[in-house]
Amino acid sequence: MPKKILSIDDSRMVHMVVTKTLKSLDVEVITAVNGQEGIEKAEKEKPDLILLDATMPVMDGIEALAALKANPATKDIPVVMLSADSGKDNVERATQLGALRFIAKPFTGDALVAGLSAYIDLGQKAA
Amino acid sequence: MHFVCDFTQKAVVAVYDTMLNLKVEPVSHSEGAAIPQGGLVGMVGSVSFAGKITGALYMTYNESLACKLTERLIGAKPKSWSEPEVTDLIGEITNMVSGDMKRRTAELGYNGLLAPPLIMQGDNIVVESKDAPISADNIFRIPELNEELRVRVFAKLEP
Repeated sequence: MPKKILSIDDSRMVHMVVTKTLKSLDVEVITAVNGQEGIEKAEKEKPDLILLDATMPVMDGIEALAALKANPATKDIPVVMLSADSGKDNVERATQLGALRFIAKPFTGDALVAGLSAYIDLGQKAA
Repeated sequence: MHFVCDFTQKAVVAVYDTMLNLKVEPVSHSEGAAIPQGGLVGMVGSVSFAGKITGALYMTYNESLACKLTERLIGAKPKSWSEPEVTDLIGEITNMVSGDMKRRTAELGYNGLLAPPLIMQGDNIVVESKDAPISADNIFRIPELNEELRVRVFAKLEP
């Protein structure tokens, strides 16, 4: 059974890069374009891990992270931040709210895979 | 060169290298009153930042460059730069460059928050700051694509 990763980011480019990077791994990537949609999909899809941007319209990533961790249905899902706004304040706030890791954009494929595989077994796609 | 301008150049080089696997080379740089007169031409991605560093960064693309970058990333050539994939890419690249630049200034104590990117398009987009003591205009060459990229930054540092 492939691991399910929910990528919450307002950029389709980021969704494409994440999907392309994880293509060879046993992973299904589902997407949401803002924090509000991300919370709804997290409740419905029960992903194994959430990849969360910080700066987004409608609801930003920090607000979404607080809501995810306050919700019994989503509080145990590991959250890794993936954001261009990797200033110390932002990283500290995200960590205090329960994010496990902060990956700064721009990111390499290796950094993304390493950041995710620390928390879930990504495996290899069956031939 | 002011460190904000230096960090902006480094951020552009880093983002293009990491995300697009493209080498970009700074070919001209001017600061303050030496910035060329006239408006920006083309599609412009901009991100504002506020905090200990306040200001905005503008990255200017012609249609050819915008479409080539999109094709490079998604593997399909857009019909025009009006396609949502193109504006999305320009916004995200501008966001990453601003974030990388701000991360570098934050290490010197000048942190700030980033606003979501804004995309503009026009033949004469005049951008002036009335109170930013730091301003710079940079032209970068992208040899592999035979294209040029203009990046302008305005900034003010709070003590």
